[in-house]
Amino acid sequence: MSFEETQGMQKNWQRAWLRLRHHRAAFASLGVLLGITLVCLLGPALSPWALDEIDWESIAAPPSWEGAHYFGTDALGRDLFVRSLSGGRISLLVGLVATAVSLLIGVLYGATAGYLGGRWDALMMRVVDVLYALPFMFFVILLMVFFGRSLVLIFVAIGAVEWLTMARIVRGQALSVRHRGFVDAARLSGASEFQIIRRHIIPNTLGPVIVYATLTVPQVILFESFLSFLGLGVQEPLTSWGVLIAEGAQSMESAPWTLLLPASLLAVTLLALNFLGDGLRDALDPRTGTPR
Amino acid sequence: MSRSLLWLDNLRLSFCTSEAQIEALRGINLSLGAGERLGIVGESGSGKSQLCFATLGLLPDNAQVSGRVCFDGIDLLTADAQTVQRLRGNQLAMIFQDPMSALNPYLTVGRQLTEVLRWHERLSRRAAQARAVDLLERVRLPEASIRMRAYPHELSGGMRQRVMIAMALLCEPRLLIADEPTTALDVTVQTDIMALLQTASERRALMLISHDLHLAAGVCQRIVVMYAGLFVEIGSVEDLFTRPAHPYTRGLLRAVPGHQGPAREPLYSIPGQPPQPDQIPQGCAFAPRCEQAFSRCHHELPPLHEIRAGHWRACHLDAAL
Amino acid sequence: MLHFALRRLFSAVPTLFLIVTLAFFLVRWAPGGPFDRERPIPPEIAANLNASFHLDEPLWRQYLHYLANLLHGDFGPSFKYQDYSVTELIWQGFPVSLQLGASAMLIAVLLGLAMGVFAALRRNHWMDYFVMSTAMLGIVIPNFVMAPVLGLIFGVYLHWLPVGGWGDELRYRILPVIALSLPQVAYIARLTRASLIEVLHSAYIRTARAKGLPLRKILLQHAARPTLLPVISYLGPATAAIVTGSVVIEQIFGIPGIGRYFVQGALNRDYTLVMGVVVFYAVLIILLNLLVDLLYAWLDPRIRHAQRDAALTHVL
Repeated sequence: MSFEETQGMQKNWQRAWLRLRHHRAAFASLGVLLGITLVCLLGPALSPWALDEIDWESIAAPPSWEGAHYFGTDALGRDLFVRSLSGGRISLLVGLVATAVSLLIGVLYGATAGYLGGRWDALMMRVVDVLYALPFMFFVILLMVFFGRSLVLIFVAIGAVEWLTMARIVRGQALSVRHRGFVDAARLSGASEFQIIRRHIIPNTLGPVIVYATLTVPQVILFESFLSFLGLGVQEPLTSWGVLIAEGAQSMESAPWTLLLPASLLAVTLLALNFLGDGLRDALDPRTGTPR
Repeated sequence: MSRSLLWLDNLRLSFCTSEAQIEALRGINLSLGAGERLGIVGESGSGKSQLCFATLGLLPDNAQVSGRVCFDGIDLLTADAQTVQRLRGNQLAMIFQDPMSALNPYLTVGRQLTEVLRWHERLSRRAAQARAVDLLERVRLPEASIRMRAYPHELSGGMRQRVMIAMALLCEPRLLIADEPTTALDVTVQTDIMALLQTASERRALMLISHDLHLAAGVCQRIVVMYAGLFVEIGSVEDLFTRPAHPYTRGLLRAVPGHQGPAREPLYSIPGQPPQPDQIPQGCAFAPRCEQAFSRCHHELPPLHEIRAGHWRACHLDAAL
Repeated sequence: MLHFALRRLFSAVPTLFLIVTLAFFLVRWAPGGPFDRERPIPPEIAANLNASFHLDEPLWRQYLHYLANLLHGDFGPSFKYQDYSVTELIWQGFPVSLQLGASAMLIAVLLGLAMGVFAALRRNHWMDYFVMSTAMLGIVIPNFVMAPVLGLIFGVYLHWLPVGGWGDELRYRILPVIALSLPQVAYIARLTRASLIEVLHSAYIRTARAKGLPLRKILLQHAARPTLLPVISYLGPATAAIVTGSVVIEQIFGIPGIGRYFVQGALNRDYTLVMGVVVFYAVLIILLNLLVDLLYAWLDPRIRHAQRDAALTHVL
């Protein structure tokens, strides 16, 4: 890559970063997300209580500073603060890993289709169309029923379901980039196919991929919570926000905080991820972002 | 000149975007008599289309307009919405640039034609149908009554523009505004449409927007040359072609192949680019591209002044005609 | 139009086939699956299984038998409920699930459209921001959170509505239907707003304004159809989302629909029941998608004609 090109690209990213900083909701969301992640990682270590430890003196107790039960305790007397944050770790982990899986499949599939073009492209996209019509939630549940519920299966199953849109986006980008001047110029100047893909096609598809990946994370977190809520996702001793919400819904009449606190954490995370995704879209694709 | 039908007084238009304030029209004064045919010529981005939209009040939300747009004595900028609606499509009609996107793709041609008559003239469905077919025949659309049931995408570009023209003529408007009516069409169809427009503009005033000076001269009596949101020269067709007074007009005339200068000379083009609408220079906007510009041109905006009866220009150069 | 409908119907066949085949082999290969003789199975069920799947025959014949049974609407016997077949269980729950889902869909479409149009016409006004922020909440608060919270507020605290159960009276239905429809209301409202704003900026709306038509006529006659198109194409995914959501809503409110059987089946590893529900819902969703496609084509003359032209060239 020539010096000017590298410079130009850096400038584009700098400009995108500046635009993101001007998008107040998105920038604040980024802060909120970093905060939640940090608290989830460090919080449990700061509490005197352990994940499964039962405080027999305060069962289904409301939030208080005295017993160091900042979020109160659940119906079994377990500290909800530690459980919510540990659950957050699992939810965020599932969000990131399953998105990474979907990213991997989607990018490979989409880039191949877009790069091959023609008949192969048509066939591969037809397969995506067919898969789109399927109610995937049910298939993931099916897999969980047949192959047992494990975290790895959750990662793979959700990732394997969420790649379709990613494949479409990458394929569209690859198709449009393929026919632009600078790729032809690179080819004429003797660059190999691999170099073209690495230096031109991947950097140019990066923007929309980042945006969509950001918007996939909340979908995946929601998906996992849904499974866990039904008792078909994360299993004891692990917990996740979906598990906590399900437990909270059981005891909400006597201890509403067991439902409301984990649910708020989930909702705030989803909201922040959605705002961040919107902000990134505006920052990375100024055409759709600015008003006319 | 008869009593003016359309009168623009210091019309200014700007758009508010998140980045900047963009000035599209910077003080337009114009008087158009009943039955007069006026051409407005300029490069793309000179504000000629915005002038049409401002006249008809078809501006987006972020537009700011000031000045006066008087049609038959009514100021359209201050009149209430109902009065303006009664005039639009009825007394004042417009033909748009790209008939493909300007016609609603989801409605049949007949529906789009008859709704005008049913709304403005309260005609019955049957009467509106008959009148619409009649007009389609007048604009020489083949098989008019069958085309009534067609959707825009089923017609060719030329046919679509004929439909557009028929639509504008439905209520026999007193003023017809045509915004580059042939730009989106094949060259072979252009001549037909211009001829049609010429017949259509008999007994009514016409404002023809074009980037082609010669095209406008073929139809109009008077021509206005526009640059960066201002009129730089106004005159009769004869004035403009025999005695172009503004360097920009002269440049436009020279830039057309085969019209001036000896053959085999390389085709002339005006150096430079028109200014970005958010970076209009101080002084004469054309000065950076003008071969004869001197220091005053860069600082002081030349006013539009009459150099002979009916011939106006905005330039500091001596009146060397 | 008929031609178009038939073509669409045929294009759904491979999808249906894919689902059914996938279902069959998943059940076959599942560890501890229904055909695994090492799992203790009540003898009555083993006999039923043998009868309906012909387990003593080669795999390909089993597959054909399975296909034939499905074509007759027979999903095989349930593992758990010894006296019922899966088909009977599904038909027992379906009327309830249908009422729940259809009401939620109706509310989602009507309320979503109304909110979207309202916000678009007051673009960038505080009312627009208010409506759209509310919609955002509907998206980020999943229905398995919304349902218990609504139950807590209107059932436990205010005593206005029952927290669970199902009956013919309206009061049993309000909370489940609202909880199920809210996320879809939110999506449809956002979609409608974006769509109407885009349509109002299009050149043909400017033409309609230039013709002097009043706003009411412009909205109803020129903008309505193109604004609806993206909403119509969202109805397919919306159906899938409502079906999926009904599973959790039925669970929370204790509604005797298909979703509850499904969750029970999943937790009890009742393979044939789970399989049957998945195939049943997949077919339902594909058929509804088909209907949505037809509706779309009926509203958009360009699609209709493009398909007709393509069909003609195909014939020629």
